Amino acid sequence: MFETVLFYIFSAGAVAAAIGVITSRSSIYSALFLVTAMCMTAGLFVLLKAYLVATILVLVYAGAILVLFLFVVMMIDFKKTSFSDWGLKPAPILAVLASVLLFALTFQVIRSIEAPGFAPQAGTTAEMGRLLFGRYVLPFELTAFLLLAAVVSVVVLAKKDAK
Amino acid sequence: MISLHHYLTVSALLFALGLAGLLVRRNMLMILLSIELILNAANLSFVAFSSYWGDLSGQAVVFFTMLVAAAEVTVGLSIAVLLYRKKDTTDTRELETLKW
Repeated sequence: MFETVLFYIFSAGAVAAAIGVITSRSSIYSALFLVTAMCMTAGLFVLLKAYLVATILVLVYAGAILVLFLFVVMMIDFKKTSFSDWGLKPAPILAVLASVLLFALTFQVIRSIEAPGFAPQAGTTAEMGRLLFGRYVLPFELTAFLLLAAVVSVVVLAKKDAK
Repeated sequence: MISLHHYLTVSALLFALGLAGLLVRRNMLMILLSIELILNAANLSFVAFSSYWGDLSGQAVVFFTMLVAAAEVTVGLSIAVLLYRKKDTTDTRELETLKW
């Protein structure tokens, strides 16, 4: 019963924050709404017993990546408010229609799924570590290369005299 | 009792909202934020399936998705900064050099 209430609180919060992300006029508010949406999703992860993933979501995503985002937003358009395009032009309306259609179709697919019972294996750090360094050790090492490539490319792109 | 369908519906809703933002907004930073929203929705459905089937592999996939998203967002943001330096704007309507 308690978990049901928590589920509805977290999911309503996540959806409301997502609406805030796409409708607010200032990029800073959008980034902050995204932080809220991430924290609410982390709450849903905890309800699903995915503890390590929830922690990483809050620490790395909401903590580090979105702070980076806020830095760039303040650097680029702090003064200029970016007005959204929610006008009566055809393109935005078609875009909203497309996403509503996508949701309707996905909902039909979801309704047809035969759901198994809730049988979670708690995603604690020990269990996840055993999995990541056992079965998924090769992809785990490859992500290190990916991050290295990202660091090098960002340094090259951000150099002042980029040719 | 909350079933798998509830979580998947929330995930689909977040995905649709992210798609609407991606298609509607014309600021490059907002497009990047919408992509983050979409990836987050996908992560939610991965974790939901993983919990209901009692298999932790779904959560490992979420871990990798987060790493890839981190790499993607750093490169995307540096491209946005570069665009702002060159064109003085992050509005994608101004970027029409490749338009035929």
